[in-house]
Amino acid sequence: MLISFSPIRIDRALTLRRVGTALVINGVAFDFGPLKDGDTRPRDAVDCDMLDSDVTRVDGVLHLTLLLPHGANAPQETLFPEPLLVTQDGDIALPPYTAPTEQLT
Amino acid sequence: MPLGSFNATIVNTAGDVVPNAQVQVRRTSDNGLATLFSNAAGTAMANPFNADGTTAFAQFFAERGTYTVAASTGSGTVTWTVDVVSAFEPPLTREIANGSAAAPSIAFASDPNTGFYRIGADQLGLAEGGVDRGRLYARKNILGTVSQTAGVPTGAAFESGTNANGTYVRFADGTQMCRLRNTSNQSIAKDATQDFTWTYPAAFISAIDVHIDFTAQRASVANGSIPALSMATYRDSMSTTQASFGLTNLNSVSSFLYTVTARGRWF
Repeated sequence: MLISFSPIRIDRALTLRRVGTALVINGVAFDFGPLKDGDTRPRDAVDCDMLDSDVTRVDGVLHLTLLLPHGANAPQETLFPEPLLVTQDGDIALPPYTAPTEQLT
Repeated sequence: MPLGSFNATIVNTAGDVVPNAQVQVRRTSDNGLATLFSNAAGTAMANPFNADGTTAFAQFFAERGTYTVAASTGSGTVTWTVDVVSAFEPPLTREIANGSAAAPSIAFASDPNTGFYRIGADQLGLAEGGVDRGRLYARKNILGTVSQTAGVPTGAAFESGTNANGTYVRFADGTQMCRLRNTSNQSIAKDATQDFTWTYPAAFISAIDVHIDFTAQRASVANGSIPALSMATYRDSMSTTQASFGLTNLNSVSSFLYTVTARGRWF
């Protein structure tokens, strides 16, 4: 599962978890198991606000882009995020929503 | 409070000194007997008291204020109205109580519910007419994270940022503008149409109220030296996070750069 990210300033953070062939996005599971190799599921066909692209399976690997919400003080790794190759089930570590020490001035 | 002092030699109307003259001090404000001290450290002293038995010198210390000093000279009473001021003015650095919006700690005698108070740790409050006017904006907090409750700002006045999808600015009033300047050459043949999709660098609150402006520019020339190319655009689909629009190239030039802006509201 190869997840690309499209960074966007939104007031709520994203949580992501892989359960088998399904991706749990903000607590809602989306199962892409039925998607055959070479197939594409259009973005509009998936009822998910955070999905930012069509979902395709290339050489057995699921490709998709998700919105990556961040706060006003997000670090560089969040503002210009790298794609993430997810190979294991469980919670997916995302670039931080905001910088660890927020300046309150 | 630091004490001030009064010093005088008691003389009668003829100008002769009056040793042992009885001196009584009253507050001018309410005519009550004043509290007197024999030194600046605050050692209590009788009131009335007697001037010196030889020199007729009279001295007392008291809190700052206006006093009426009356000396009995035997042949009559001599009175003075005196302002006692502190010998040592209070230092400029003072530590005062927190206060509240209804009763700010730094206020005006003519307007006691208007002034400054302490909201909480490291928070300076401004009260007008007993009402909290919110935090003060200054150079260090005018830029930061904007936030609001029921339309009233609770954060900075302006917030801006840049991510892989462009640059955005949020105003405390709810206005949001996003901009993306494309830096790699795009290509559409003359009269051909292509779809573009832009994920905004910051989310809007309502898709329908977002206004998009698109400007194309000839790619091979330095910025600004050539008029914008004319492109027909139409809105394809929009969400609060993404705009899709179709672009028809009306020029014979096929290679171009573009800047796209979106204006709307973030709350």
